Amino acid sequence: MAKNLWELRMARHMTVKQLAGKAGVSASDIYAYESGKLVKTAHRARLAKALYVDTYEIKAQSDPKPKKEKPKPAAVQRPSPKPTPAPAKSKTAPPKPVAKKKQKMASKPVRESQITHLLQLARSMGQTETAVTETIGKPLTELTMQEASHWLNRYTEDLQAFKAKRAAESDSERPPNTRRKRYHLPEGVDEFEFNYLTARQEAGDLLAFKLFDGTEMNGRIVGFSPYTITIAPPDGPETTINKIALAYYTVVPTAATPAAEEAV
Amino acid sequence: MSLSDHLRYLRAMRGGMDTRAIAEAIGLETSGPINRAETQYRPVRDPELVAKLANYYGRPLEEFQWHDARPRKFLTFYAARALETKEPASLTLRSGETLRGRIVWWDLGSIGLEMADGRTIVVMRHAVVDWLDATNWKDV
Repeated sequence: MAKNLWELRMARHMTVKQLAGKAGVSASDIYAYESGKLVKTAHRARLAKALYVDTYEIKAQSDPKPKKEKPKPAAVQRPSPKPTPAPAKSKTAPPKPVAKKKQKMASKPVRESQITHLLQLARSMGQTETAVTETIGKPLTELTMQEASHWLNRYTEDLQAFKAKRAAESDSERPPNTRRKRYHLPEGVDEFEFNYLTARQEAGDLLAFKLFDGTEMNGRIVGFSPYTITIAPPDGPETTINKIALAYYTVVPTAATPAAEEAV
Repeated sequence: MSLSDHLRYLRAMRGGMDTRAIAEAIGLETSGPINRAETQYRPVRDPELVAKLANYYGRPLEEFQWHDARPRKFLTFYAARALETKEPASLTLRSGETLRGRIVWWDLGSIGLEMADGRTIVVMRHAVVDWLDATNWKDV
């Protein structure tokens, strides 16, 4: 079933700029498409590739992205002269005033899960239940939901600080030059090629591609994904090259570069 | 080029048939060992499987052993060391072409090689079959 462009982008944790770089579609176009403008067919195909979906999975016309609703201050309840209609398909209920929620939490007794969580956090720092009770100043079962929430936040912060301190100590205890070098780990990323391609695309450089079978192609980058690069040759239609078919590629030296001068 | 990459290359050249069909043809119960052999970054370390696959593809066993001695990890070590020491690197491609330059970056799929004229060539890792001192890496 087709989905909104912004839904697919957000599901892949991509920013508009990142998607623009991968798809070879300008960020302003993407903003417009996400706001409901009809997506051009050519752009839809490119966006689909960059998002690893089929073209039909992107809605030709996205529903506008719902804006995050900010909770209104509880005391100020001014009636708006023109009531704004809710988004057509939004099923989310309007946020309840914060003060009311707090009041409710303040009067309710602590939940059992809150106590369990609190004790887990304390145990992670080597503290016993007695120590926690002493710190809080009363038995855990006598806390309200709001108080428990406050202590949970505080213990979470304390645990983060505790872990950071322990990590720093274990590093300082290690004899010098014994830290294991794990320089081979970055092979889990492909950001260097991504950065290179982005820079070449933005600069509009002409690139020469050598394929596995010896074929050579020249063109400017239109868009790229982890598996493909789409180029526009100086005289011909756009071509998408599968990276698996590539041996190497580089910038074609312009007349001004020393390499070109040498070649001449 | 690692044996994993070489196996995938050979399978692609045969039309990209299913690994289950290969497993059946060489007498394996499942395609698991072949799938692992095709994707792992380290040597295959299963002489029997390597011999069976060489026989299946009709290639000399020595060719498969030669590739198995050049796993992806070794190329990674080589690239990382060359980047650290800034020593010139030499990469031989499947086409027989040898590219020489200074490695300026490397990642999952490619290596950035700075040539004498200052340009950076992006060499795809799967195109590299051999490199300087290729088998002299013991720290896998």
